[in-house]
Amino acid sequence: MNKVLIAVDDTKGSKYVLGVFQNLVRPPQEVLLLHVQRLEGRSLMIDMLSDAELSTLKESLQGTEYKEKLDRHAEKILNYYRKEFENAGLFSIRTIIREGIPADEILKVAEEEKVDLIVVGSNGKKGLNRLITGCVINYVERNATVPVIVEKPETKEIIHGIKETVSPQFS
Amino acid sequence: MNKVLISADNVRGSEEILSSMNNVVTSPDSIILLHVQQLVGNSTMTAMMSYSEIETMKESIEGTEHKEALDRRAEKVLTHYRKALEDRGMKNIKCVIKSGHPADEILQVAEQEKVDLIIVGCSGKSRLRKFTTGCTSRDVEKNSRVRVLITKNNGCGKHAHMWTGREAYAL
Repeated sequence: MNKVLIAVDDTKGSKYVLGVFQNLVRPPQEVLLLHVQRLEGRSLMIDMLSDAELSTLKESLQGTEYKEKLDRHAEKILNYYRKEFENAGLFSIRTIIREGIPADEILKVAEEEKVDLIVVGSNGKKGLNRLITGCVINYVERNATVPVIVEKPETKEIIHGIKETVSPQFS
Repeated sequence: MNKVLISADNVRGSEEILSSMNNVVTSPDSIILLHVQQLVGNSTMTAMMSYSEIETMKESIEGTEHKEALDRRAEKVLTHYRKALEDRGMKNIKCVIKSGHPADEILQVAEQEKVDLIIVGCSGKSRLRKFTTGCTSRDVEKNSRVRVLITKNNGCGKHAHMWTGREAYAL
């Protein structure tokens, strides 16, 4: 395998990707670490912006304190993950910072760089929360042309979907 | 890695799953091949049925031609996968046949057997078809406690940038 794209952000769910090379995936030749700066709100909010609006937003943010803060933040996250992966014995790591719609940027980078595998962490969002705040995984998984690994929390108990809890009573 | 669950759905999608066993993941100690028999229609239909209804359904088709056809199909699919995996030098392959709602059965077996990874194929359905016929890979990804690898067929993701929610909002 040549290239693996790993999408990271500052959430706890994203940390689960660290386990992926421990005994699961064959070590690739190159690892791409991607962080997408979220310019505003949640992923569903930014979904509603058109491309033109998004570029206006990008321009207006250029040079502001907020943007600098985002940059520092991105650096910090990527450095953290780079270090963790280097400790795990991987050396050809390239970091990429993008801005805009997370799912779109992940897919774009995957296409441009011709990666063989996308790895994303799951934060275990469920039901209504997932619907309201938008789910990056959902979108990536649906639209990617390469295999996707969804990393899950190791021990955390996840309640099953509504079907299993409801159906026995109605039977 | 210890245990992998492969959802062996049909022969058509086997190529991608098998190549991912070769390239992406490290060789596991044991493999569980699971085929879930679709008793009726598609996965949305079984999702709407309660457990007792599914049980009645199972009983009522016992010994019928339909059931025999399903059994033959399951055998065919499982032997295909088994042979392909054994050709690649994998050992400890266990075949399981279940019937009912696919996503539920996959999750149940995964839990009972304590697998480390679930591999499911993506059928490459469009949004509308996904909505009407249901999507097992998404249901599994949403509800599973362990990591999930979603492999892609040829033609998956071709709907990617055709019509997303954004254009609808922008109009």
